[in-house]
Amino acid sequence: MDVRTLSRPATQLLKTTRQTLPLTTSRGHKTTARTKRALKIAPHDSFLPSRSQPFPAADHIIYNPPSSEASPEHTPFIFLPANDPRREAIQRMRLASPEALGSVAGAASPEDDADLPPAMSYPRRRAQYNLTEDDMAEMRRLRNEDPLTWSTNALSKKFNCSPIIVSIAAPAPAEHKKWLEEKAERRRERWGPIKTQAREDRGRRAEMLYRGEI
Amino acid sequence: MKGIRPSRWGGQLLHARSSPATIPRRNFLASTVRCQSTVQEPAEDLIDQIPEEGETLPRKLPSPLPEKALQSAKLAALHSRLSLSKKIPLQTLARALVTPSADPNSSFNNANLAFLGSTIINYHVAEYITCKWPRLPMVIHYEALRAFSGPESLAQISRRWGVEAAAAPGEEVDPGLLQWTSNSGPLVGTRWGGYVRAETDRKHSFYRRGMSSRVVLDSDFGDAVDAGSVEDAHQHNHDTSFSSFVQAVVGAIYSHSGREAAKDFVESHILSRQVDLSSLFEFQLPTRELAMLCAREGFEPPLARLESETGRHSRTPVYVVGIYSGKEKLGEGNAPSLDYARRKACMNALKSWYLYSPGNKVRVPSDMMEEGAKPWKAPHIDIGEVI
Amino acid sequence: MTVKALRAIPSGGKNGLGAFILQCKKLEFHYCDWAGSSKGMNGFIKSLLPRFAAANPQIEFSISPRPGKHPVLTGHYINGRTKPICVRNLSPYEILEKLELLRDASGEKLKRTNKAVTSTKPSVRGIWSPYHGKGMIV
Repeated sequence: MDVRTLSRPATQLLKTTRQTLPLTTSRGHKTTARTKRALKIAPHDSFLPSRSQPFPAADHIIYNPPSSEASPEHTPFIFLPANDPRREAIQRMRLASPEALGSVAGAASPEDDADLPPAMSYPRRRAQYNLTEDDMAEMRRLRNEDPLTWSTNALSKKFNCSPIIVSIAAPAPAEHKKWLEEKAERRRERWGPIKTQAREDRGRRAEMLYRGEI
Repeated sequence: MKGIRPSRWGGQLLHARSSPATIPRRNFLASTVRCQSTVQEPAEDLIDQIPEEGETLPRKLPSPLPEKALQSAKLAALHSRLSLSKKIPLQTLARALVTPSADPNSSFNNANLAFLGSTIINYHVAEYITCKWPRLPMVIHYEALRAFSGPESLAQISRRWGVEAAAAPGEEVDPGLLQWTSNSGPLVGTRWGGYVRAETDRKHSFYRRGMSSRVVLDSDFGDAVDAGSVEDAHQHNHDTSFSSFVQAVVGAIYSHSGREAAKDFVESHILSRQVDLSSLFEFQLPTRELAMLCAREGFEPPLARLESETGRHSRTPVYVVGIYSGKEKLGEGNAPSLDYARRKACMNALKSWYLYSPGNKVRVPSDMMEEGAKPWKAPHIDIGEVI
Repeated sequence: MTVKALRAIPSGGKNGLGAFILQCKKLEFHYCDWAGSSKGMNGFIKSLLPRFAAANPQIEFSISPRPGKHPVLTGHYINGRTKPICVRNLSPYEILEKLELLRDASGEKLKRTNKAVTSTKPSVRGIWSPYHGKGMIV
């Protein structure tokens, strides 16, 4: 096999020999022009203007939202300030003909809950304002008494609040924090090069995400 | 009349001088004496350096004489290329090409014109950004200002006008070349707006330099005025010198042709540039920021919903997550993991909040200064940043 | 938690969008009094050049003899490139044509444009994505 056939392996398939049947690709015709003509399809009705009346030729605008991600330049409806004319226009459209609008961020009429995509599950803040001063004092007492048994998670289970609230209301004594930090440091030292590199990459990936590079 | 010393005549008259070029350049590195200077010269020790009347100067001037501007083809071509009005004389344009690093005398360099022009440019650009993107955070506002009219951008503009720099400044240089030099260390303009902060010295260095104090105390771009260490001082000086020409041209237009001509010039050369603001954002905790924004504005708390996915076990998965506040969609993002997609969606939602714009043709306050301006309608004024 | 800003790279100036800057900043003419190939050039300099130079004040003209060589027109552009054209044995009007070619050029190398539209603005409808939209029944 010479170099040219190696660089275009697909051409091997197209060579006809006496033994094999001719293989034609099903992608197109013998010329580009014929392929283009064959792939031509009539535009969808939603693209065409209504020809029911000659004059005025167009009495409505065709709204055909694209199959693409909306850019940040499109402001969602509730983000529009009160004095923006787009806000009234969208409100009028929603009242008048909700079915004419598609499902784009700016123009969608409020749908039922069932139409919305499924909610994701992720750590969310579920605020319950159920801690009293006595609870917090008790939390602090327990924490200072035995930070190892009464960890943040244990206290959060006992008092039915989030661990973040525990860490704010009842912070651990300084030497316990230092001990935890040293424990984590010893663990990090035992990592091999691959794991260290992986963790470093994770951090850099997050930074790149926040800068919009990823 | 200064004291004449006939004993010194002989030396000067004996040399055959056919042209100024053959004057021996004595004391090349000594301090130059300007005969056009308005400063009173100390009489005694400079008496023998003052030339006799009718003699050409034996000393090199730091910049060309204003009369030479009328004979420079480069300068006339530059004047016409910028389509400057006939009201602006060539001598002014020649002066705009001499930077303070080449000639420290402020009657012959572009320092004052550049200061005037920089205030006009920064004003027009700032009002345009404020009116076009009313909710922009202050840091992004500063960066947008720098993208339009910062030293690097103006330096690029002046190079695109065909402005070239002379190899070294001097009086024999063509007046159509920009004259600057990098020898005098990083150029810091303490006069040009802003104050040297008290906390730059060591005993106040713990003071946190926040955004609000930057608006009040620092320069137009939010930089501390006392630069301290500037990395790549040569490039910084280069950009400062080239940008001072653009500022000086605007200052010259304002001085000779008036306010509206200067505004038109700024709009057509500087504000016509395209700046992509959405690439300037860097977030830290977008999920928390969006939640706080919704809480502040009284929207329902944001909830992430999975719009589409290629499948959890795909080799290169794509998850499209949309952030919804109740039934209204705020933003959308896609990424290879669920968590990243959610964070990206929050970032896009925040960007669409901050980059809200009332339209492409926004009215700015300086529009009201023309005659027959329509009555001013208040634009949207934002409450402020989320946090 | 605050938003930070990234430094913007200066770019995005479009010649002609706001103000137009002619890209040709200098034209050099080299002629020869002895060479026969420079006859057209000499005639051009005497007859047509003054009006052309007056009509194009944004360009710096530099005329100098180059004895014993063919006449040359060189255009210097703002992007730093030059375009020399040898105008040996051309008549004054042909030289004028070459001069107009130099004046109207930008300094860029000649490039073939395969696409009808070259733009820096993003597409109006966005890049098609298979994950968005409801799909269209064809």
